Amino acid sequence: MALDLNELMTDLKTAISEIVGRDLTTVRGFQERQLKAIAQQAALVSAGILTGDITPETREFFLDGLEDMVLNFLKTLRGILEITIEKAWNAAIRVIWDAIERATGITLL
Amino acid sequence: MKSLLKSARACLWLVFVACSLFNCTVQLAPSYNRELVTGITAQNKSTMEFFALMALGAKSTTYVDRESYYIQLIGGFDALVTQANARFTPRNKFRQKANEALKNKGIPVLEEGEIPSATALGRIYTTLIKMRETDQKQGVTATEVQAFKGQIKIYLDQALTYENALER
Repeated sequence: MALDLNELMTDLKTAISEIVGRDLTTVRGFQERQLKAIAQQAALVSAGILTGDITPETREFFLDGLEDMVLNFLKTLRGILEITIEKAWNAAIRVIWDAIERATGITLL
Repeated sequence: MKSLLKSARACLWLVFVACSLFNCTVQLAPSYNRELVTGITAQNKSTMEFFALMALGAKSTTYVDRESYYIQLIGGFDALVTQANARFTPRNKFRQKANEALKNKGIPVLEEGEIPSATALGRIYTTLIKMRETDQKQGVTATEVQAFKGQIKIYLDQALTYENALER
């Protein structure tokens, strides 16, 4: 049986779109939560420094902390995107495998 | 059209042959660890309970009353850092190439072998150490407690979101 290219293309698109769509929803939610929380933290630290409620003992720690939080937020985002790429790649390979199995009748691993 | 189909079929056969010889599925991130996620979730609860206790701030004279809470939380997060890092982390050319491109643009990168959730847990550990030192030395104001809590919550969100994303 000949391999149906149109069907393969549709299956690939469906598999990849589902994964990317689902993961992007997670990423969007995470991004919004983080940006809001980091902005609130920056406001709290800056107000605390002005009023003296953030003491000299902790001032530098919190200021450095803001920078570190943003950096690790970006690293986390990148880590999640790598997982998405991995899932999309593996799903695409599975779809190609299935199509070849159907066309050739050979059972692949 | 016929030649296009012919070359597409040839390409698929090439993929088939190549993938028969080499394992085509990839792993770009560490494996999911349910125990670690359960551990982080449990620590999250204990940490928030501790912050509820500390909400109004505290004086250094009563530090001794809180020492056991600090020991428990700091020890717990230290153990989670070890657990998060003690996993196989795939090394791949994809990340190396992406890192090179980002570094050339001056953008900070996820270093080879670095797991963002482990980094976040490590930052929670150092935040609690700083809070304990401050509490012991001079006490902590209500605003400082809020700021320590805010910082820890942000890192907890990073750690949990990444670890949950690993369940694929």
